[in-house]
Amino acid sequence: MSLRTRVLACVMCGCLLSSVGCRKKQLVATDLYNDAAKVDAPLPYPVMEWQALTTSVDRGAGTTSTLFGNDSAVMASRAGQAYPAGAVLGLVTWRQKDDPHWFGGRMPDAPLGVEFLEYGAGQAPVYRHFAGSPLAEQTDSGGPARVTAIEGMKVVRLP
Amino acid sequence: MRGWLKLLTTLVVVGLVFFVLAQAVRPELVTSVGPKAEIAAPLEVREILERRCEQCHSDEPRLSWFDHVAPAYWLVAHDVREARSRLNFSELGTKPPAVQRAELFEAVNMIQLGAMPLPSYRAAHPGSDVTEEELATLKAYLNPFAPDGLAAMNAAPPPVAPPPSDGVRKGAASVSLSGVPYFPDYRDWKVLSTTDRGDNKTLRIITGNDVAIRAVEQRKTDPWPDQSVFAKITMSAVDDGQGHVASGKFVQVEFMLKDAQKYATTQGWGYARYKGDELKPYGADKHFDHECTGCHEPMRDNDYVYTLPIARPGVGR
Repeated sequence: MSLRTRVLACVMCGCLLSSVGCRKKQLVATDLYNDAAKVDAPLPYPVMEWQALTTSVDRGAGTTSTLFGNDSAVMASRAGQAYPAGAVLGLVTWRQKDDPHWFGGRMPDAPLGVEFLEYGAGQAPVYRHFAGSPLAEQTDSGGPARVTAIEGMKVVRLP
Repeated sequence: MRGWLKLLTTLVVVGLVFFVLAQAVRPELVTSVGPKAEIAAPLEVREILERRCEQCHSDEPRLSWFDHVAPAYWLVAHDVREARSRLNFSELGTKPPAVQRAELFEAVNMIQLGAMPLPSYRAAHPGSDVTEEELATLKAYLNPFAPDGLAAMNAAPPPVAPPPSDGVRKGAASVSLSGVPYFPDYRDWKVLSTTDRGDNKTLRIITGNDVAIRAVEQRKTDPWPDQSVFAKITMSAVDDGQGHVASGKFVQVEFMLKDAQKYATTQGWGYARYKGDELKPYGADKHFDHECTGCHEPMRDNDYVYTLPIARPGVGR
């Protein structure tokens, strides 16, 4: 190989390497979406289509929960009124994981459960609990305590 | 042949003269240092910062011998000035402990994302990388989710303001200092994700307008389509002392509005932040968004977006 060819080859290699270095990283789905946290089991209400009322974390359990409400629940909540018949609250609880993009941040991992409070004409709302993987309706006895806990969550006042 | 040799000699001589003269053009980099306050961190942490960051991020930068040779020196001088304008460890110790901590978190994140030390600096200075052990030491010190991690640093919580009236939506006419609009409907948008930020004791709900939500449903966020808007709603995190952390007072709402052309000079995004119940536009002047772009730069492969949206049941996949 002549000196000229070698120099040419080196220059070409250099160009190739620098162009590779500047190219955008090839992203995979996990770089773009939090697929693990998707809530797509058949549920009685489209809770992820609703507006968020507040969010909380349980450090001991390593979970994060967000309270959602349907239109009727959100309107009542913002007006400071009791939930009317037809209002539904939905509390989605996820396991937490570290935010891969920010040290100091955590975000939702797989969903662990969804709880609904269905308000009707009666005194207490109907409590429904979906848990497991895939999420399935449970027949647990913790209803009254959970209703108190969920109703006790302070809705965030946003300007 | 002789003519060529003469030309070559002339070129070399002229080049040498320029090179020697260039050495005289030396912007001063060491600035007068006032009373220096030590950063509120243990010695092992300060040593890492000194070793890995303060070559540039300091009033007294420590350059290698070859950094002093112009024209490389001019590039180095530019980088040092830029570095100090973002974070100057010579001044950091004079700031409140909570600010120091926030700056250290950002520094650790820039290191973790590979943005710091600058790749060009690392290429020219072999062995300047922050090692895994050093990064682990910094993270262990910052320990974002330690109980009462920030308690000693936080002043008494401010009195809770009366909730804003829902009849009058404040800030509807607001616009950021760089002209990015305020979106009063942000609280009606669907949720993209939530984050638990141990570094500054806040909880966040990130909502997206219809364009952004549709992009997630169709999994077309690389890049995000124009007119996508995110709202990052930040609340104080209130711990009951037993690890039950609730959302407290509204702190701020931040927007990212995608318009690749209009906001071409700021990564294709319009950045805005409105603070407190008064929704006061953030920043001292219209260049406040340099702070935003600086922090978002390491996420360029993700269209400058940190939030990983929760996947949504697809339409048209």
